[in-house]
Amino acid sequence: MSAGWLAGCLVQAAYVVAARQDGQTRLKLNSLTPLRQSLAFYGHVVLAPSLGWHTSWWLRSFAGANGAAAIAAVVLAVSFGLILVTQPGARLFVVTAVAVGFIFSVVSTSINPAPAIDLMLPTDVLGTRYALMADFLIVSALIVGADHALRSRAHDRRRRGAGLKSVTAVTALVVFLAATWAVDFRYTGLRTTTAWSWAPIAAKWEHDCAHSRTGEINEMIYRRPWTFPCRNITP
Amino acid sequence: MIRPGQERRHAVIPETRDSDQVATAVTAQKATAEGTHGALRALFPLAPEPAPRTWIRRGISAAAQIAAVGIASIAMLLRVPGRPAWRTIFGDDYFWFLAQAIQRPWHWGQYGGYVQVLPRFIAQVVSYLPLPDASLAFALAGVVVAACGALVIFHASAGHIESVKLRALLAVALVLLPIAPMELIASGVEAPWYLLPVLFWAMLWRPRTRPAMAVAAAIGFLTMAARTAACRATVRAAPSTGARGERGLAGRLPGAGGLRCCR
Repeated sequence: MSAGWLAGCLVQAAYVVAARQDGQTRLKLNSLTPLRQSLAFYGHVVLAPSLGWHTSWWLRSFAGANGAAAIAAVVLAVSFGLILVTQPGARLFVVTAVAVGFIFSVVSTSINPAPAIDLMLPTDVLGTRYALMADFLIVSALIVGADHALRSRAHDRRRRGAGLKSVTAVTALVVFLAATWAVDFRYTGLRTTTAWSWAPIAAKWEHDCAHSRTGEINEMIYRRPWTFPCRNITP
Repeated sequence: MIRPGQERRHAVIPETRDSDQVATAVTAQKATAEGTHGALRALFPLAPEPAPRTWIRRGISAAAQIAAVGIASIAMLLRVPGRPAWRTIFGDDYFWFLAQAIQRPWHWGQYGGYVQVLPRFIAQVVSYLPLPDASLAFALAGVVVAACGALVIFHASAGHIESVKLRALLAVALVLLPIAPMELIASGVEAPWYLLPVLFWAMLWRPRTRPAMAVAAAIGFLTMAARTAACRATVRAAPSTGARGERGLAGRLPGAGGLRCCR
């Protein structure tokens, strides 16, 4: 893992340094997103949707964006608090996972301000990619906590009621996750609304190539002109 | 290896691991009590040693994993409503990676200040396929990368999660993540984002076999060579039409002539 990670870093570093020398870097430390904006992104796009996408918008509808984030924060704080108190073996993982997710999201949005300052709409939230890791690590931490609860149940069968509590907690987690997955299985987002229908584009390129006298075609893509050699296009 | 004192534990505690695996990892709780080294061992537990398997059982296991990746991929494709994901092409896959792959094959310059190896590789392969199949190929590449990532997490979490069912739950969590339909599913350009949580688990993973080590190394390379923590979005100064003639992220930002989207 370390070797692959290091090799990837070296490849990336070569491009980053070259881009910096060409003045094309995006790492501009003097124009970072204000911390409160990045924290707001974490609250609105990471914490609130960690209870489910539709649930987060339902919470926003009556508690506001900050209220929804606060409610999610309380729910997660209670859950993680219970894990930290009752499952010492899971503490390190839980703290690491939640911290890594938090740091990644905040640092990412500090460097790229658009997701942190853009208006959020139910079908139009920019930057959920910065929330993927943090949200998944929150789920990871909950599942690791649940696994430790099951282990301690197996270890300590003498304490009456302890096993029942563990099973109840794990069942609640599974039911909660399954419910959010069912409700949020599909909904309209940027992947739906901003994607291009491909068939007409492909047909046009093929048509243009069929009638090209130079062996090249000129296409306007996203307001930018491109010249394609027809030999590189497989009909 | 079973340590002294563990034999009794194994005798009285129902085994929650895969029956093919032998529980050898030191418990996290015990390790945490052993100071810094113990804490590190708790955070980086050795993966359980798999018991010897017959070729038939290996074949069944491989088939089950391939089937799981297939089912997860189909499920992810179905998560995009409206026009099918395999008939549309998303973001930079269209207006940058595929266009460059056709215009200048294998010319992988920096994009937004860094290199994105995986999306460019996917686009390059797609460019050799029949043009009408490009959207299907991009969508498949995106969901297969994510599904394989979920499979890796299933294996990589074995040291931390004893219950096979909970490890499966964790893998499914990546496939069915609630925020994913917004922009992350079924595209080459977003595929590396799925590798980030996989990288997290791979970093905690101490695999025993060489193939597993190679997978971990590949994840490390692909993730780091495809992403920087920073991505950028550049709003270029250009006249805004306010319409979506060229549909894309630019069209939805008021006053944005062209949002060069970086992932």
